[in-house]
Amino acid sequence: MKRLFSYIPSISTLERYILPSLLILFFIQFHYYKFYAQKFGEIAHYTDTSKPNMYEQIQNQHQYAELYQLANKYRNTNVQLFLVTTLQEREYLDYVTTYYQNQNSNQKKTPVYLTELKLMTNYFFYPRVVRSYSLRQFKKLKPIPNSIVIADLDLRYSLPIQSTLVQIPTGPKQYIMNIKKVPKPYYLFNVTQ
Amino acid sequence: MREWIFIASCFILFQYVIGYIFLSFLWKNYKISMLIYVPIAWVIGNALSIPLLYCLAFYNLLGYITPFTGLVVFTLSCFVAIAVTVSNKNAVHISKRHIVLLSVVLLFFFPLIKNSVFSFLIEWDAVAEWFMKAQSFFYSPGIWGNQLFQNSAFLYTERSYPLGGSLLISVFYRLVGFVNDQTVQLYLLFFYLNSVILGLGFLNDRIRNISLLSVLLIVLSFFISPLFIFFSHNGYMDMVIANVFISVVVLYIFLLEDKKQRIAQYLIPITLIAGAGMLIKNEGVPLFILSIIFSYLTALFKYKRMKPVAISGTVLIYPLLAKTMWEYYKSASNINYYFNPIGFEDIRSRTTLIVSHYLNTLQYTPTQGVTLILAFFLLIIFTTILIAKRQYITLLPQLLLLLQLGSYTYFYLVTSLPLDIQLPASFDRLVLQLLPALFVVLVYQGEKVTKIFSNKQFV
Repeated sequence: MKRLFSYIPSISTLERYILPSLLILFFIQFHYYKFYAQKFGEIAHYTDTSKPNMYEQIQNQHQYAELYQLANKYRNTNVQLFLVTTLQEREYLDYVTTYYQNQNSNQKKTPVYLTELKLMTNYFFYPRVVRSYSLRQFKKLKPIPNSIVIADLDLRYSLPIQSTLVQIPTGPKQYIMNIKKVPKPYYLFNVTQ
Repeated sequence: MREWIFIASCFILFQYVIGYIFLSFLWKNYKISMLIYVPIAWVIGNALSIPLLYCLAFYNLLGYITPFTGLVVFTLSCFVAIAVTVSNKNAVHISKRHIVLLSVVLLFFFPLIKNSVFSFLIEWDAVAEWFMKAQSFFYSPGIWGNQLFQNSAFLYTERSYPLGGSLLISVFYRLVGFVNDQTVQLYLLFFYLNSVILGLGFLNDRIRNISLLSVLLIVLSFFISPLFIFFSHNGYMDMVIANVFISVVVLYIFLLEDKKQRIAQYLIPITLIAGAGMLIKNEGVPLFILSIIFSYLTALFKYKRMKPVAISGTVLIYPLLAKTMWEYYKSASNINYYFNPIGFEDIRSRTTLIVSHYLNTLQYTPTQGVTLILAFFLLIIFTTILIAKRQYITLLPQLLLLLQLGSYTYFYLVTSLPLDIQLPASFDRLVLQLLPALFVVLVYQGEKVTKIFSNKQFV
């Protein structure tokens, strides 16, 4: 033990007593650090640094990768875009928008919901605004051919116009960020003739 | 990829350089440890940039930030920094020990540095607020005519929130020429790394006879809890505020302890840094008010000096000018803060919920690790000893911390949002903002307590 401490410069008597505790504390904390560093780092296995456009490679492992690709394709076009959201649980309540939209109203507040899909759609498509519809509102619409529909529900089983909707595949990703909640599935459709 | 990392590195270096230039004029003939000088230079660099970016955004002049102008400004600042270094060679105290400590920390965090440039953006608040606004400042030259602030589809982005972090991110977008929300995370990581280095420098500076190994073990054990790692580069602004807070507390302790009474030299950076905090996040507002009150009153009553307060008061105009512009824009555009206090209704049930959540957070090791509960007990022990020995002045930094926590508690008590949702969703991040400053307070108090024991005053 004496030899061990002789390798550590300027260690005081008090430190000798607390050093084992410090080491244990460090290794407990390091166990957490290692876990997170590994989980975050796994994405590097699915990217090739020698290839060009690293941004796209990383983005392809994004949980909303297909939505991102769609946004790149249609952000600057006139193609009609529809976002259909059906999730209306309390956890999706958008307090901020609900507050602003109802601040001048004395009636019962109309709740507004915000899902991760809506959030990512607005983010990827910015500055273009993708209007959001409820399922009931969307049923009344007649999207023109080649329009794009983004939904949190498989609309092919919910709409009479199902035959006109062709699903754009959203495949599973190689990289799973398993420290985060698993995202809700989302569906992308192309409207055909 | 390499090109983006290079630009990000230059942008990071630029903040150090302008902070260094500023400090070398302010702290002329000082001999300050490299491990304190470097992180303070970083935060000063950002604190100088943010109000300027507000002004550019207010006058819709962000378009002037291009790769060319960026290169010119960076080159010029490097030349000035070299000239300053030549004329004032001994400003920064560098020793072998400092270099070893810094190298070990950087090596230890290398996986995190690497991960930060390989991360896509997914976290809610980052996407919904900070990066969304940053993106809007890439597509628009300022706040006037900016779609995000006009279209009701983006109400959820909370338009009244401060813009500091988003403006810094948008500068990087403009330098690389596209919305690169991955590589910019390296920039955000530096707020965390600088907090660690500042903690390291402070411990090394205050408790001098401690071994290198112990310094590293203490600092790393404290700063690698899951909460830090998770928020170190995921796009939230809480680590940025944490960096602001630790810097203000360190400078405030220097102000309290400075025997040569170099008051303005500490008051000016405190003013700038706290002012920048106010322009980054709403939690920066109580921090700004508290740190200005504490530091200015210390100068007036402890040192009985008016002139440094007057000088620092002039510096205060810089962040306040940016704040005024932003408030004017919000007023002209009818953008108000959604926070609508409900008064102290059901205060008893709310207090129970808040206290119970605070205690749960304290012992929730999957996010806090084991150090928070340890720090809590150490704080109680140190405070008791310092009160027993009537060293009330040494409790002032801790009081700053407690009042900041008190301001969060006040907001929880009067918020109109459902507390059972808001509290669990936000309190972790508020704790994160306070943690690095808590480390500094513990080291400071630990030093005082050690002195009491070594002088045998206690027995």
